[in-house]
Amino acid sequence: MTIGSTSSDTPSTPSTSSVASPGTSAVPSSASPDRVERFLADVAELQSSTGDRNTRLARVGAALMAAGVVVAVLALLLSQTSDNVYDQMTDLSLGIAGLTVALVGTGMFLHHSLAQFLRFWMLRLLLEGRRPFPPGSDDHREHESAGPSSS
Amino acid sequence: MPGGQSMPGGQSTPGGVTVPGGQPPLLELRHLRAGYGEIEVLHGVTITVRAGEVLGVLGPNGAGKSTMVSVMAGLVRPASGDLLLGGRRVTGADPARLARLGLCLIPEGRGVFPNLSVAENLWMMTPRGRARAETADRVFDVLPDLRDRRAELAGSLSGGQQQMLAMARALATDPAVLLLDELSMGLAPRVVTQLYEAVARIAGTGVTIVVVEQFLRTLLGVATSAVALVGGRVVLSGTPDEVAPRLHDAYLSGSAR
Repeated sequence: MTIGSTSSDTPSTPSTSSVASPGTSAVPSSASPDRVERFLADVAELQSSTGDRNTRLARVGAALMAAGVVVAVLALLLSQTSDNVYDQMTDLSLGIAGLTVALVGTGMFLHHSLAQFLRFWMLRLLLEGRRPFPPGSDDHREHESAGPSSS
Repeated sequence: MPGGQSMPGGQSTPGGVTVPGGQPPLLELRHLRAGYGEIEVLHGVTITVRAGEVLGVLGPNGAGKSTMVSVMAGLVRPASGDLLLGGRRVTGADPARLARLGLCLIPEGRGVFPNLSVAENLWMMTPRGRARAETADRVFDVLPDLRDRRAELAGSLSGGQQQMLAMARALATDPAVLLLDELSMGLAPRVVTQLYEAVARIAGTGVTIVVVEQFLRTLLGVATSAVALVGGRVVLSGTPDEVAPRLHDAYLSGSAR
């Protein structure tokens, strides 16, 4: 561990400090470095990624929504420029496909943009469901669990 | 083993984690200045925490301890300076993303859901794709006192048991770094001792821990290193035994002697 402070008016502290022996810890160590390595790998990934999955999918959904609407409107306009029924049917099919894409995009956008909000909303509801506790109830229980003092 | 020393082929830490030699510290604050609005609370703090270490952060009220762990968790954006994880700069990263990495903060006041049971509180923190029962078993192995209370409402637990549940919820997320803010606040001394026994068990599983406390006595036997923060500056550092005799003077004078 290295500790310090950049403040000029702060007394200098050791650049390195020793750490108590493992014997000071009350438990045997059973650790594996796997978790540390995974953590470090995730940190590296955090820096390289451009955003979390929800944000990316919400953006894709918004793009599909806009593209679908544009395609549907263009197909509708195109169908009105032709007297040929077959051409009109093709254009209208394209329009319906555009509307479908817009609907799918809307669903994706709502799902991935609202997901986080709804999670927090749910947590808020749970927290607001807190019931008032009788004053001093914590102290009472702690004294009960603590039992007679050993000191 | 001193936290700053290297061993051939690797570095052994008190928590039992052996990290490859030359690996950067797991968590580092570098020349950090942070505060709220116009008020600067931390004035150039530099702290390095290695994997498996249990660092105690001591200091009186208003020293900036909670602000410091909030910066570590990404909740407070520093005015200057850097937060580094594994040697990589993550200053300004979304706190939710840091939490997903395994940087877990237990804030003051426990924050458990009182109207959910112990088991449901654990479920809330179980990551997607992981079996709830498996997570609960893993947590209860470290914190066995909660096993018999899994069906009880969190709000019906005592303050110490709620704090234990807060730690259990943190463990359910499989944290790499645990930030504990004022674990002992408002609790009876005997309950605090039990809590720190639980912290020692968690440290024994290799989790790196930063624990904020006002009083050194509560950290003895658990922390492998300690720093004293006074007026937003680090004024003391070392092992708890080294810090203990100078802590009183540091609190009174605001600097080390």
